[in-house]
Amino acid sequence: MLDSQNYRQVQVKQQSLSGFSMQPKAAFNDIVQGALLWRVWLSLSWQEFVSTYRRSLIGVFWVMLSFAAFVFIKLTIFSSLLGADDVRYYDAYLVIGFFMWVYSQQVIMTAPDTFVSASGWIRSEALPLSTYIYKMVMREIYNLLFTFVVVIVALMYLQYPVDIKALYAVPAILFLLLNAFAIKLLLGIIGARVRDISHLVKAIMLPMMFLTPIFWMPSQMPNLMKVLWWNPLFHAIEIFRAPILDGTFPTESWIFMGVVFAIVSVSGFLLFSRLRQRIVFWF
Amino acid sequence: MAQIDAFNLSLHYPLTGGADRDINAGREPDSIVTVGRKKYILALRDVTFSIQKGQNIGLVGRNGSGKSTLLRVLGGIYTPTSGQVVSTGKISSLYGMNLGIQPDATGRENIVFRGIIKGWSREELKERIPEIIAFSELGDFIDLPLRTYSDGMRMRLLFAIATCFAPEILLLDEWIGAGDANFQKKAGQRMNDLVDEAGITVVASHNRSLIQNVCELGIWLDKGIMRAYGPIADVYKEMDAHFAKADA
Repeated sequence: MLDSQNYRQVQVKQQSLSGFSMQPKAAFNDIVQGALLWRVWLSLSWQEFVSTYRRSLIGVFWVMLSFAAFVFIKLTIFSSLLGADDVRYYDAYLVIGFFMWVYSQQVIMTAPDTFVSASGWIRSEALPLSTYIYKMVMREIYNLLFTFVVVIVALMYLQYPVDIKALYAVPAILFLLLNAFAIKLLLGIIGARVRDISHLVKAIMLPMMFLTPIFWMPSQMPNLMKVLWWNPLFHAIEIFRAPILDGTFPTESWIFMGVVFAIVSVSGFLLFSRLRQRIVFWF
Repeated sequence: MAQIDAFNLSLHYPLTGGADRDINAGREPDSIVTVGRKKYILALRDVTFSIQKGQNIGLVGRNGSGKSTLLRVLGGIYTPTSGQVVSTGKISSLYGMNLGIQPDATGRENIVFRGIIKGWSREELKERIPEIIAFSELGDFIDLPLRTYSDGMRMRLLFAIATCFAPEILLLDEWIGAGDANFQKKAGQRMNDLVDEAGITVVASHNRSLIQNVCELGIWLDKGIMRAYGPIADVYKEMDAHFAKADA
């Protein structure tokens, strides 16, 4: 029979916590194994997406309707308010930019809750933790697709001429999905440990809407843009918006986003390597 | 061929989220340690045992003695701080009635989610669903959202899902609280069937009559220490004697 007094002398040493050292291989494995469980995160994300609108008359079309209403009101107010020279260009600028803004905002605001909102699953199933990141990324893709329909309709209504170079937006969106994964990995871990992060992120994102050129154009505020050029959200939106709007490939913004992705994914991965097995104890 | 071997399992449960500030109140001070700047509960201390195929184990002990923690270590949810678990066999577990479910999804959808997580194919799912519905006796409720279920209904469904695919190792945490006598009997029967097929069941419960009915062996945990391991009657005897002395 063990005596608790003696026990403490034997067991309570720093080394006894060495089970939680850096494990990059296991962390990488988690991310790969999670991806292979696509049936799990596809079905869970779809159910969560649909259940938000269950019992409502027009169901998932609310996603499109609320976005469309927002776009319509913004177009009528802002395009006359700002007195842009080329109204059609400005309207297209606003529609595409706002579309990317809504997505980016959602990705960042829900990121700190990635693991917290899945705590019931994490505490009862021994699945790779990345499964819950894939689930969340996937869920936001559904929103993205539904709102994109509105963008297409709006551009057609505006009869905005779109070049073949608009296809540069495709790698941009894929790259942004990769970014979404990295952000959720990093903020998901921090947000599970420090619950203030979720509130902090929400508090930051509201003013960011005005500090990111969506409603106004960088050319309208050249002085302000010298500072706001460092706003990553500007570049995230730009790599998608510029190809469709201007038919250009915004090299500068791509480089900026590449650096952002490198920083976020490396720090997220290092944290994950170190804390993966501890996250379950934080709920 | 099921088998569970636990060697010198210890688990330091980190205290986070403000719990570290006031946890000392009301807890035995010797179960809390400080390593560096962090505080930990010694949830499991040097636990060693070996469970063979065909054994039903009852985990007993007071609240906070480490029963649920041990079950989660066996299920691969918690990584022990030291020591290790070597287990052979497909594991199925039930840690609580509010975990691992989508409350807004229907009973049927939840069966599918669980099945997909367990890696069942489409055909296996199709085959299992009627069986699970029949065993859980839910009838038409199966197509209503889980949040509309009573505790008993939810328990019946989760138990049916956890046991339907003939798991080799079944881990159950306080599952029997709800459910009527009829279902308890049925559940006990299913657990016995499982063990007859050379499986292992580990049940943590405060319900003494249940444990005595379904388990031949028992493990008594006290503040994370395994105080007794053996035939269930002996384990209870030892535990009762200890607490009679301690409370006197």
